[in-house]
Amino acid sequence: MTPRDQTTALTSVTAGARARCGRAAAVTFFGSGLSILLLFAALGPRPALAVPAFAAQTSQPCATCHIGAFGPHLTPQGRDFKLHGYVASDGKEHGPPLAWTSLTSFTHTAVAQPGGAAPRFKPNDNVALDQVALYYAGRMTSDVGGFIEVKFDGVTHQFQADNIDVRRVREGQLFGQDVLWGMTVNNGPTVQDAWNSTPAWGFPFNRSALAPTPMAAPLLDGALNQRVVGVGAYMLWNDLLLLEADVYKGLDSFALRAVGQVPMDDGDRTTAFIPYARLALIRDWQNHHVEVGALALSANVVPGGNQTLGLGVRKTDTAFDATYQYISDPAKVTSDRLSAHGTYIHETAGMEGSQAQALTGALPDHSLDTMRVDISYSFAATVTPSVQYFRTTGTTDSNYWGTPNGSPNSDGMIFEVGYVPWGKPGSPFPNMNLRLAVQYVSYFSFDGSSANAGSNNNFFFSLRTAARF
Amino acid sequence: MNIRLAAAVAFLTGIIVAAQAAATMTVGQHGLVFTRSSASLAKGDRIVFTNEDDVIHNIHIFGPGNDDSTDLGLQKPGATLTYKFDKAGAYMVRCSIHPSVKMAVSVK
Repeated sequence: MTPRDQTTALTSVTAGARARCGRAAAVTFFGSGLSILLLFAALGPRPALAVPAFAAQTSQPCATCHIGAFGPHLTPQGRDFKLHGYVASDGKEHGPPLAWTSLTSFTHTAVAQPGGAAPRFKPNDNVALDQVALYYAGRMTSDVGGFIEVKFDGVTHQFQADNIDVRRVREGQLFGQDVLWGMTVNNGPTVQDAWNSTPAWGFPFNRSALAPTPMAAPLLDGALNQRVVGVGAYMLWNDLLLLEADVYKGLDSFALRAVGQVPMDDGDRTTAFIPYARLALIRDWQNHHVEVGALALSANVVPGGNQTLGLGVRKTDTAFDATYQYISDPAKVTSDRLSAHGTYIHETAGMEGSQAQALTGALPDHSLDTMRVDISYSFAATVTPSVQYFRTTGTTDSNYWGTPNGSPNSDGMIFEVGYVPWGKPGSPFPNMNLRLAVQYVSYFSFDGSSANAGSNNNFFFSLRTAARF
Repeated sequence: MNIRLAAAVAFLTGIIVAAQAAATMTVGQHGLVFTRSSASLAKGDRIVFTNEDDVIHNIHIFGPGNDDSTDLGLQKPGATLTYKFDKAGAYMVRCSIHPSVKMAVSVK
């Protein structure tokens, strides 16, 4: 699985700084990375795909669970598999559920970045081995399953624990209807979510780690992923109502170092308990799937990048999301599919007045609103064009945001076309899959300014591969 | 003569009753769901499960007891699997690969 670029997930105002500071050499590493890929290939991948171990466990092609035949964009069947604890199986013995993926890319920005896109990178036109990831993914017992991902980040040169979600599920009856009960242990709010309208798995599924990105983003928008650990319970009643409650605990410095978050530790810090809640209404017809939902969390954090000189901020995020999918022929996993998502996150961030004064006159309260809408159409689970509009707006405060005019506002569009040759019934190479994509990011405004926003526009060509050991 | 006629009528009636008891129903897996969500059968009735999708399915029958289950195995696209419901009670038919594929069967 490929989360919404967790490697470059931006953390409040510190995100841009982290992105800029964390861009390490990959061109120089490319040769050795290619060697690793070739070594993995020589080990002989077996039936494979998005999370290839899942595909083998269920004897299904990638296209059964993934729009466009490649993760992490889920179909209704993919969501069912996740909500039911990753335990669905063809009943056969497949050995340890190990798999790997890789991401290699080329980034071109409209204007070269002086000093290099990152240490040891050129100012422009960079090739990178973004990551090589190893997964333990699948059924562990009859009612326990999950995925545990570790990766080597070829941009920051860090080994890291990536997304983790392990869950146990039971089925029963409640008020005369089917009910699914589950418990999850995971390492980030929405990592455990089954809808791509929530941040961890939202579009774009990959983006450049070597292109400029806006500085401001809400806490819920991936800032806590891999920096917390949480346990939660959820209930899906009558395939209609999903309720979930989790509590997260921020990792301390030792734990952050252990999971590879140091030295690229420039995100929001917290060791507090963080409550999280999720509600969703779901309706499936044969050709149509609709979901509308809400999310919320609240946390005391110390913003990274020394944004508040080490002073704590209480951040509360509320969000709404919606998903619509149209499946032209449900009996064919390769049928054309339209998919649309909407996400809106409202964040309030408050400091005590005296603390705000300590920030040389910063306002005590700030708000930040992020919205995204995207739509894609997958042709025969092979070619999938997508487009997204994104927008972030917030309280202008030059003493709080690290932007030239004190505004955190940014907006723009992303255009992408993905091509996946395999992962379908009858594919000639059932033992592996790959996804080629070209993406163009266009900014209308960037960090509070429309002037020169286009200089951050970028092309991102990517190759993602996946296989099972 | 009347006795023979009565015996013949009884015999034919028995055949008809037996034929009714051995009814066969066809249920498809189409679009990764069963074509019907429930069924009521008599003891001895059969269900023929068809796979109308382009991916592999499975048929796993749970019941009528809590610990009773029969796994009919994997079902390739276009293949059929048949099960005879010999015991009265409540069954749940599922595809072990696709959690959303499920059907309740009541046998009397």
